[in-house]
Amino acid sequence: MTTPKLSIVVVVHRMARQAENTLYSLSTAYQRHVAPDDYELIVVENASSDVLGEARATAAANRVRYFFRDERGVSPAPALNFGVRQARAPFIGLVVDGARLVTPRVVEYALLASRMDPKALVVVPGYHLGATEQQRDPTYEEAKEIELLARSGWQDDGYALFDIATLSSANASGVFHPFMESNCLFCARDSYDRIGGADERFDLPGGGSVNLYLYRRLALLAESRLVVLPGEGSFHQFHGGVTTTASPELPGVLAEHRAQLAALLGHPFESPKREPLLLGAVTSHALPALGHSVERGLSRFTRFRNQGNKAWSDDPDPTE
Amino acid sequence: MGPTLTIVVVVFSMPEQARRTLHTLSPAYQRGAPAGAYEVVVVENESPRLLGEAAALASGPHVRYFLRPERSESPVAAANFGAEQARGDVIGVMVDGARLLSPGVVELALLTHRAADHAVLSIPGYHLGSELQQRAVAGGYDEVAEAALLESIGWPLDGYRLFDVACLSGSCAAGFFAPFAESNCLCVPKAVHERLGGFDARFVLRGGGYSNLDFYARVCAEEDITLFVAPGEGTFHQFHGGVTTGGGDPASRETLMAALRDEYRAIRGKDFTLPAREPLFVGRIAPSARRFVVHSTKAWERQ
Repeated sequence: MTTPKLSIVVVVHRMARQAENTLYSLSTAYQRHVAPDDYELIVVENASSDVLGEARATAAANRVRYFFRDERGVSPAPALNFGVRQARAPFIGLVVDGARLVTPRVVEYALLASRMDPKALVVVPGYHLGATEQQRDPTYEEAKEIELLARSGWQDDGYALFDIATLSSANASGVFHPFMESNCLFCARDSYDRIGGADERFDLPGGGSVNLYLYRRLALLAESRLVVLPGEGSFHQFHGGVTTTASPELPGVLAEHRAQLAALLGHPFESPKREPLLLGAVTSHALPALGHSVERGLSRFTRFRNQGNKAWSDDPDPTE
Repeated sequence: MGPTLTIVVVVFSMPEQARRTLHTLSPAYQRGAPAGAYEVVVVENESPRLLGEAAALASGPHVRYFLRPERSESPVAAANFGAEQARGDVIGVMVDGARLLSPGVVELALLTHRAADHAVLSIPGYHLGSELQQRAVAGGYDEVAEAALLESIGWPLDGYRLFDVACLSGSCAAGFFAPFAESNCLCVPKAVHERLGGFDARFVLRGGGYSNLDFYARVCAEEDITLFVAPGEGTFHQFHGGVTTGGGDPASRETLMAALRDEYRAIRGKDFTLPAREPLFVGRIAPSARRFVVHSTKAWERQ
């Protein structure tokens, strides 16, 4: 078997059904214009009461390498780092929450971007399935989502996911605004190692804000070329996650996350302001989101221009 | 090591416009394009109003200049001659040397070439001015008005501001989510260019008729290419009294357009149709260019 060009690490914890969907969305049966030899999937599952298991993981997609870990902590960070250590490719994909379905050309574009620039940092915008973000709707639950997905026909046309989803608050204003994080992210293995991988000091349930910290550090590497895929998405499936389930405790949990993030950063979090290079086709399903991005982007740039500030102030040589 | 990209610029009786076009192809203006990664081949067909070698070479050592005696009214032979001179693996043909470029074209041509084996990069076309020049001329649009327009945006300080004083060409009027009829800066791998035999020399009418549209459609029909469109870049047509963009009496223009369509039909045995190939978008989109994305999404909604 040839060495893959891309290793995608998917971390799974108590989300067997959702992870099965995610892995199918990353398989060559679903992803377009890619071959089995192009990439491998590294599934790292932390022990739980709802285990996916090797048999189901390898049945859901081709070229899956499955690892089961008896993780004692409550964060996915060690699992992510473990997964990256297993990677055979120089370019890696990071799906820290295995409940994220992706659209059909994510892998193709990650590979294109890595050829374009080996230091590409490829960002897939995030969405939540459902009409609002899942944590904002106390009535949203798994059975509803199963029905929503079944009606959408997503297995046959993954772009139909856009029709039943809403932008995630990490990128609520779209592709001309800085992202807070990405739940489907690709980068050079070298870059990941250079920043020391996912910081395991983030030890809160779900990893707290480990993914925001990881994304910020990768995006601020001068060598990184930020590439955003406006026509693709990662779609969060409901799984009772720490920050994506409505609960009276959520504001307190988020405050704790913010405090830990600020403490480890040494300052309050800000999204990294690097100008993205856009890449990929935009289907009719994704056009409304792109229209929204342009509208929000225009007002942001007008504001920055009027203030005499640079909109992409984290670029080494910002042009605007 | 030689250049990766060769941009061929065909010039005929447009010295001032070509001088500005060449400035937009200089390393001083293009961003993120390493010196030595590209060259510009200027092919000038003889006319009483020459750009000339000295003016062409003044924009930098990356330029090579060829003057040709050309009897036909078509730029096709010059475009193919320029492509034969190319040292790069990718050939970008600008069949009308009156087109200014935005500053990211060269970088994207180099990036897309690396991204895919047979990458083709299509740059959308614009006209300077608030309406197509063949119409604007009736309201007094001319070279003087255009010079004032360029001055109003401080050109060439920020080339992306060209979007502030331009409108989409007829060939791209339906926006980025509909097929283009042509590109006035189309970067094609040399192997694909050679396989297709370049522009079809049978297009002999003024300005090359449909030769550029025909070449675009034939490139798009090649199965092994990956078509990229750069929605944040553009070619901007400067007024130069061109065959289809210079205005004049509407009846004569329509007669000419009919003759061009007939020539296409005679050569291809069918009417021209738009190449309906889905593009991958690539590049940054500067604030000035974003209104055209809005236009494109609205145009798509109306379909």
